[in-house]
Amino acid sequence: MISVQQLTKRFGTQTAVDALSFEIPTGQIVGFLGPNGAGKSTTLKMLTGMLEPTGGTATICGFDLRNEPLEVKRHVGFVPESGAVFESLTGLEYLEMVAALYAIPEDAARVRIRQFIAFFDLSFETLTDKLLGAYSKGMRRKVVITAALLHNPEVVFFDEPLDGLDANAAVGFKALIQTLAREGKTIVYSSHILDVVERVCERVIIIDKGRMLVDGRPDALVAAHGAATLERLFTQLTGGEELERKAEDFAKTFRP
Amino acid sequence: MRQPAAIPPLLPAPVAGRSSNRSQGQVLRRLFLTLFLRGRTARGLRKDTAPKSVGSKLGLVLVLYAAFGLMTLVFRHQPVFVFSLYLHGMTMVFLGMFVASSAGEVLFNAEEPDILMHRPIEPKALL
Repeated sequence: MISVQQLTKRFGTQTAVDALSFEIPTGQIVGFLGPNGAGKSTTLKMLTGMLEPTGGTATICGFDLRNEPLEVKRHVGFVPESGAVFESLTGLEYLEMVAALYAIPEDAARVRIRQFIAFFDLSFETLTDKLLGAYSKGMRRKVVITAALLHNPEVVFFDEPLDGLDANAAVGFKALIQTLAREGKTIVYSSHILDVVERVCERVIIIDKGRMLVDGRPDALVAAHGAATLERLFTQLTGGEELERKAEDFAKTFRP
Repeated sequence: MRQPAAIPPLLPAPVAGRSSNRSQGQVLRRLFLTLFLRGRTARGLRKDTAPKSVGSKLGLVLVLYAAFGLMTLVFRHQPVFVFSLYLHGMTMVFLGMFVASSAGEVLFNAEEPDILMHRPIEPKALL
């Protein structure tokens, strides 16, 4: 479903993504992890056609990212980390605008939007009367997730999707992506909340400085590296243990 | 705490040939006009209190321009050079403000790519 070959992105002399290669089959939920600045968001932006790769290529649903970017975009959904929306539209106006961009008939779009409103426990009055600028972060995130799934994409990229969601919405969301995967959707899930990734994803890819560090099943990777949890493995691989020691030393400076 | 509602059923796969009633160009033009009318950031506003008419907004702009234009009456007994200096000065001020606000809102809007660039929009429709 997703085939990435030697994907590279350079900004001037800085290499953000360095010859990344991996394959993701249909119906798999893959955790895409890395510390800040590792190149996760840049990779996702390349795979969704927002950034042009400097080198390498990728095919998604059989469409080449370089030669058929519009076809790729038709088949993917993306929840960006920023959760950006047009603040001066109402939630309903925003979702209808997105549906129209995917050429979804208006009646089908309305039905679909109502299903998501019920799922996310949103009030229809809020969605029709209030402008998005007045929504809470969590409500706005629900609208962005709905906008990413409205056109029934075969591949969905989530970049920090739980940011701002309350506990109930997060539980529902996790169940939703597991159901989507069972129905044959391919999910790429980028997050810093590693215990959620460990529970939801059947495979994780950890990158740092644009390069792949490990790729495999979370339990197998944890066992192979002798780590207790995925979080421990992550800190082992990305130099987080040193930061932990620094934090302890820094905290000691507060002692009277 | 309330439990989340049932997971929405999956949509059937998109059917080729079926389309929305509006073209992408129409959708984006309507979006542009709405954002022009209401402003790009409208924190705290409700839809019913947001401006509704492009005509009334343009009218307000024209009234503002007319007010600044009428200030030229102050120069009616002054030399023509001073009068033209004022007119040119005001033109430059308005032009500068327009360019600065447009650049801030349209050219350098960092969030807009996150909303539109991953959607299957034909480049000519975006233009």
